[in-house]
Amino acid sequence: MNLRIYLGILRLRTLGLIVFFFWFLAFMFAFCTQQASHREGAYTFLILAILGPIATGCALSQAIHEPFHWPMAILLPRLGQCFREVHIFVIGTLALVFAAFGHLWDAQTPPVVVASFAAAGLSLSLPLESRLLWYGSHRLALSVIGLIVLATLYTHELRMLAQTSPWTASLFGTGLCAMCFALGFSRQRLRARASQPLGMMMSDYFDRAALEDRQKEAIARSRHLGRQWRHGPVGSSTMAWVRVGWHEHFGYRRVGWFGMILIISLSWPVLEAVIEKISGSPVSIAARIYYLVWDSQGPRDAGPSFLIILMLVASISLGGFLRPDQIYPISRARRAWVAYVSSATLAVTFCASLVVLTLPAAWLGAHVAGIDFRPAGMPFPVLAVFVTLPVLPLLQWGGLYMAVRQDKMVHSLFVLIGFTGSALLGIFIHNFPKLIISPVGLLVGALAIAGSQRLYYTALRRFYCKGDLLQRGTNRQNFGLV
Amino acid sequence: MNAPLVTDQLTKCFGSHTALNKLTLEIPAGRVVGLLGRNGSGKTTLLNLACGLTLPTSGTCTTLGKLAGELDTPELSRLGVVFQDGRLLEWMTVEQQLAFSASFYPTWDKARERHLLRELDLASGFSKIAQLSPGDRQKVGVALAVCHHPSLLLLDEPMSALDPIARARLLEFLLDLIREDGCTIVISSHILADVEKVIDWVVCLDDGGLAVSAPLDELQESYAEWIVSAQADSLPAKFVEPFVLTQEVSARQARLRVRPEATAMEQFRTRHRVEITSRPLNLEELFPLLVKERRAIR
Repeated sequence: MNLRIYLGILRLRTLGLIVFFFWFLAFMFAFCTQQASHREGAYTFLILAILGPIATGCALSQAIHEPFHWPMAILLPRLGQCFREVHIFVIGTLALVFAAFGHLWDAQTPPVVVASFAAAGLSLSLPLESRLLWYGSHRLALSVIGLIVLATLYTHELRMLAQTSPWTASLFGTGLCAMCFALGFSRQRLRARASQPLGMMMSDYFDRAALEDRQKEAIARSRHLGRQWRHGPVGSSTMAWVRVGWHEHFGYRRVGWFGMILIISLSWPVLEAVIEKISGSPVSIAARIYYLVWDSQGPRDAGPSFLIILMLVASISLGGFLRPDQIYPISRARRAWVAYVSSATLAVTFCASLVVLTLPAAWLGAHVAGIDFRPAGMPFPVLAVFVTLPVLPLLQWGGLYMAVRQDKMVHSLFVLIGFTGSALLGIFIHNFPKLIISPVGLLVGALAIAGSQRLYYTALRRFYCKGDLLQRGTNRQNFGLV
Repeated sequence: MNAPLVTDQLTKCFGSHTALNKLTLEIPAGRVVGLLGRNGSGKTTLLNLACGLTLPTSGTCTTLGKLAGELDTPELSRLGVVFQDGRLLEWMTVEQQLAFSASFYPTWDKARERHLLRELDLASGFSKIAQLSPGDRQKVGVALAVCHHPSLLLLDEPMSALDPIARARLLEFLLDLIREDGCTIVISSHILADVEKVIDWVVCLDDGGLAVSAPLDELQESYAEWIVSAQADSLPAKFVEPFVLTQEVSARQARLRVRPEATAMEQFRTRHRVEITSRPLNLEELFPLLVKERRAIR
């Protein structure tokens, strides 16, 4: 086997993901955090020597896993040896790339350690792709997550080890890498067939049938939790709309406030411990959140904080997008309108809470965190609103388009646009206040909001009217229609 | 020449179901062996065990001189396998799949690959495997199995999805293969009329056990169909001779399938005062008799 065949096995999607990952790393480190006042070496080490390589290794081993555990693979002579030789070359090259990044951004850690840790991380998923490991096959993904959590918890210690005893650390990394190779490519392991859980990370996203199955499961689950519409056909009166609105927002049993408080109170100390371990700094989570969302002059910069807010917006948008759990005796056009109003209400509520509640929330946050309150973040909620209103429907439109067009290229394109857009927003965030307060900025903002809202509503209408024809395996019930 | 495939008391169980039951068998070298049997008789299980895809519950299966579960580079380089369900990597193009497999064999014959693809009318090499018809997938499977000049070729229903023209070409190719490489071929198929054209040895399995393992010629000499015509009286309602395996009797004529001894025909003619016209049986006619005989013995 040569490199050309190996790259063919990786396929464009894996190669694209890896290239994009490195590009994104370079982009984020070079631009987004260039103004960071407190870039912590531990984070860089964690990403470049542990998390990045593990993620890249998962993508690589996922791609070679299929031909390696292909039922006929056992009949191919020198299979393990051929795969091992080319994979060593690839892993070595990638480890050197990680080491080069590490040398640029964390000069205190010797590159040889970053390279050896990266090589270990890159090959960590190899033995996990077969069932012969001591874990049960269904626990393999959990074992990776467990390793990541452990590595995250001890990042500070690992980095210290890398700096104080570089050769011991390198030996440890190289030894782990060699063990993974020996286990991953042994001939006996060929008999151990595909382990789905690890592969799920990528293949479920790209595998249309699996995706649809998951959607159906989610629909069935939500239907089980959803409350029944007990009124008659929906009329056109205001009361009817109020009923629909009420049902749309409250007709679903959620975790509930008590449950949320319980979850947060249980996970809070764990989070505190994890973050303290990673950063080696005793700043509490409350203080960190305060600095993240409010005070950009604190021990965080505004770029990443803005990205986090955007992620929040994105997750809200995806959560609110097309909830098919409510069933109404209602027409398709009106169902589209209900869905649109529902998500718009969500966006408006989010924006209103940002504008109205941020000041008291920040004050409260500062009080809880035990730090002095400064009104430094005042312009930030307004900015967030200006970004949320046009971006949210665009994200929802993107989600809808991806759901309808089950096309890998479309999906990849949207992911690429999403990441690039977020990164660009992060870069230009500092110039936003000046742009927005100008008349042109206001006009552009208003037009962007109107345009994106219109785009989303039109797409929703079209989806509900034609969805049956476009999407395989869906029916009226899945759209929330009776 | 050593037998390329030998089984000794080979048993394979899947839970409570026994697919192969203490099968002892020796496939002679340089032969084209027809592996026959009804559905569920254990043909595919035997081939899976022979190439080491599954491991036996008990007993041994030795392929190319080594236990099938321990086949390594020297043996695997001399082994070719085609499966009925066309186990291929779906996302690859035909070209990629061939290049992928070829990269593991130093003896891969590119000229044979091209020749085979042309002969079998395989669609463009740039078509994805997932888009191929079942027949075209089988053709790719055959190409993957033979282009490295194997000395043992195991074919599990290689023609089930092929059209008659492709079947004929594949059979011709197999004959060429025997001429060129002198390899041993084990072919399992339900299309007995086709198989008969190339095989010279029959292994018949029934219910996980061996019904018969013998040269085809020998079997065809042993079994025959007699058309029996009455000379004077009408025929008996039933012939009771032990060598008569099946019979369709009318008043004046009978059609018997028999496994007679050398002198049996003469004795039969005298005893029943009949005219006998004998003809050899083809494989399709022979197969039910082999199964029936085995069941009668059990």
